[in-house]
Amino acid sequence: MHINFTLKENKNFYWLAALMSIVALATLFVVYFVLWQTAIAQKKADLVHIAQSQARLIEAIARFDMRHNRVDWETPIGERGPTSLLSERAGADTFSQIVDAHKHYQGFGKTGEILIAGIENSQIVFLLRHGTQVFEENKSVPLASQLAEPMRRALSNLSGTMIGMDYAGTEVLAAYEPVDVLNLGIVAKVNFDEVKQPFIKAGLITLAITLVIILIGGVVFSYFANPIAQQIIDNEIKFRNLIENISEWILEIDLEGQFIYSSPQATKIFGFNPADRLETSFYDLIKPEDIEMLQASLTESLIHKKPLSELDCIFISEDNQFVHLELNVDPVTDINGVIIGFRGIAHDVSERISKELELKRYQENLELMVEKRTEELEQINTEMKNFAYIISHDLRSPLVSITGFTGELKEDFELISDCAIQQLKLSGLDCPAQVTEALEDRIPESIYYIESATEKMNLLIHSILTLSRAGRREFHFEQVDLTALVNDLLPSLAFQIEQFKVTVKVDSLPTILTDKLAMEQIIGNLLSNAIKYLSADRKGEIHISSEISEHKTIIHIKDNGRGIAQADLSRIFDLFKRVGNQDVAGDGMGLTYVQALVRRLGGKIDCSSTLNQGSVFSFSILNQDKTQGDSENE
Amino acid sequence: MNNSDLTLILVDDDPAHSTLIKRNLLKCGLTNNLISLNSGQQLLDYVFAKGQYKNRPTPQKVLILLDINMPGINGIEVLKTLKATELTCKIPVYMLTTTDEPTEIDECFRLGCNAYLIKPIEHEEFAKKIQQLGKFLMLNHIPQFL
Repeated sequence: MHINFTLKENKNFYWLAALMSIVALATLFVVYFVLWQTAIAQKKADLVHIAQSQARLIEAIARFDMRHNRVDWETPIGERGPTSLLSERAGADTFSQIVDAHKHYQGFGKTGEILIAGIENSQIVFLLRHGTQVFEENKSVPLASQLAEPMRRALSNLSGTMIGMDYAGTEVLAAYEPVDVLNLGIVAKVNFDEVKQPFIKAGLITLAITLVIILIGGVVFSYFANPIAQQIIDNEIKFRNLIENISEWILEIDLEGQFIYSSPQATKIFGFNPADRLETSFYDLIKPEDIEMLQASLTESLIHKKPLSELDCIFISEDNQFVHLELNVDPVTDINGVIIGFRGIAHDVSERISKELELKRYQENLELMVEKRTEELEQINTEMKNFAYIISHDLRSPLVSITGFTGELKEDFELISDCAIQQLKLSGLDCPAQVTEALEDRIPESIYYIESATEKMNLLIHSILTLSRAGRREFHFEQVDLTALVNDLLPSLAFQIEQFKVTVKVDSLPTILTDKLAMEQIIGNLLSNAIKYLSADRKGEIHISSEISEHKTIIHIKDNGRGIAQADLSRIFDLFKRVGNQDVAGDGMGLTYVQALVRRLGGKIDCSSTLNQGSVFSFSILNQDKTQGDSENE
Repeated sequence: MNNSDLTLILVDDDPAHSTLIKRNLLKCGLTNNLISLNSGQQLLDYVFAKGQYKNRPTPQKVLILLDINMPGINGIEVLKTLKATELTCKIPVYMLTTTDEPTEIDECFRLGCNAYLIKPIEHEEFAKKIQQLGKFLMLNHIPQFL
């Protein structure tokens, strides 16, 4: 296609050169025509002048001679005949004077001649021919012939100019004039060839120069124009290559949807290039359901003269497959700004769309799975909550019975044993040692163990219940100033702080949107732990600091206490787990509880610790959405 | 003041608990008539004189000590029925249960229970509490009648 383009362009150059040549030649021709006309007119005027002045002179001489000589004026000139004419004295005198005068006359041009003739015996008889030489010979031409037309007219008493044949059959430019007195005719003529000659010569020279100039001009033009044309061609090739090799389909259509251009990419998309099939319009390629939408969009683009971008449209390929194309369309205008069609670039997004669909399916599937799993988890969670609740209650009930009846048993046993020992002493009876042991040691011991076991069990049940409540209590979010919160907590620990001589350093902590009670419980537990597990070897130092990032706030509680062995670190948050020396009272539930609260607030708790050096407990709290919190507070 | 004509109805599915409560009430010197029932259904039957209690004698005054966690009709449902019935809504009902769940306590008061007593696990506290209840019942005027 681009080869055609190049040839066509070159052809245009030739046409341009030819046109310029024709114009130059036409101009030349017009100029020459005008000059020719002028020259002919000038020549005619000259000839007329010569002929007339000669005629008038000859008439003057003849009249003079007539006055002083006898001339046979009675005989008409036609009947006199040349001999008789010449034999006339007066005529001869006149004529000889004329001939003499002509002998001193230089004549004009190369072929310029003055002819004087009369009519004798139906012959035109030339009495004088004066060219570059004077010929006094008599030459005659029949009156009824094509020759010597100018003289014929002069002898017919006509005056004027003409182009015609002279006596010798040569084409001449002549002025003819009658000489009234002598009944002669005079003709001043010049060969037409002589008149034409300079023009032909000048014409040929000019033509040659013009042609040379045109040739040089052509060479110069092509010298300068060729690189430009080449550049245009190169650009054309470059852009065409680009257009034909990019993965996008480039198209141009007219307002009816007929293709003006369609890049070869179409073949990959549709299996054929619609530009090769005249009967296939743009709209024939589109899925029928989409045509209306597309036409509406294009109409809108037409009205607003605005491009359309990222228009998703489904096309149909030759083998009836749906092809998703993303179209970007620009209206195309002609020189006058009238929209004549659209130029577009289309990108095949079928793969992307199918991937998106697949992704969507996965997402939906995932959502379903998540929903299902969440539901399951929620159910499990509810069951767990209920389980903890039921356990704590249902275990409590028998525990009440156990402790109750143990108490009853103890009271009754004390009654019995006091009484029995007293009775035995009083009666003086020998009592088996085993009975005494049972009464005095074993039974009270058994009761003691039952009581301590039930007490422990009670504690565990209480803990489970507390923990399950921590998971069920509804949070009430409010702005909590953590510095103030810590300062409010410290007095409740004042006794221990005093006792262990603890220095508590509290940095300026942020105000965050959170549940105040939960925060009190978290920080209170961690602080209490930090104090409880201080090292006896050194003065206690506790440091509370914070770190704020975009999404979370981290609080660090650092102590220089006894620390936790690396091996135990992973178990400290486990329920009822206590690690290290068990010299301090605790239910093994504090950290589990703290962890549960931190997690419910969307945070995480970590501990880094070095045995005998101290621990750092760090917990993060997700920053709640402020606006949400505010609206909750309202 | 003497409430000797007051009949106590103790409803508890656990006979051990009933026994413990009865013993402690006796220990504090309470001599009132005490009827021990072991289910919510039995109580409703008794109150509305149905089933096995169709021909029960009509007591002048009653006070119900009601456990919550019972199989069948639980204490809260019983309370709801009693308080929603015009005939029985004035009977004093004291919840006597192991549950210290705040939501349940609230629920019982909302339904109209007259007192909510939690059974302590420690024996000494348990004994003390029940005996205090006994003394309270002996010394204070209980105005409602069945």
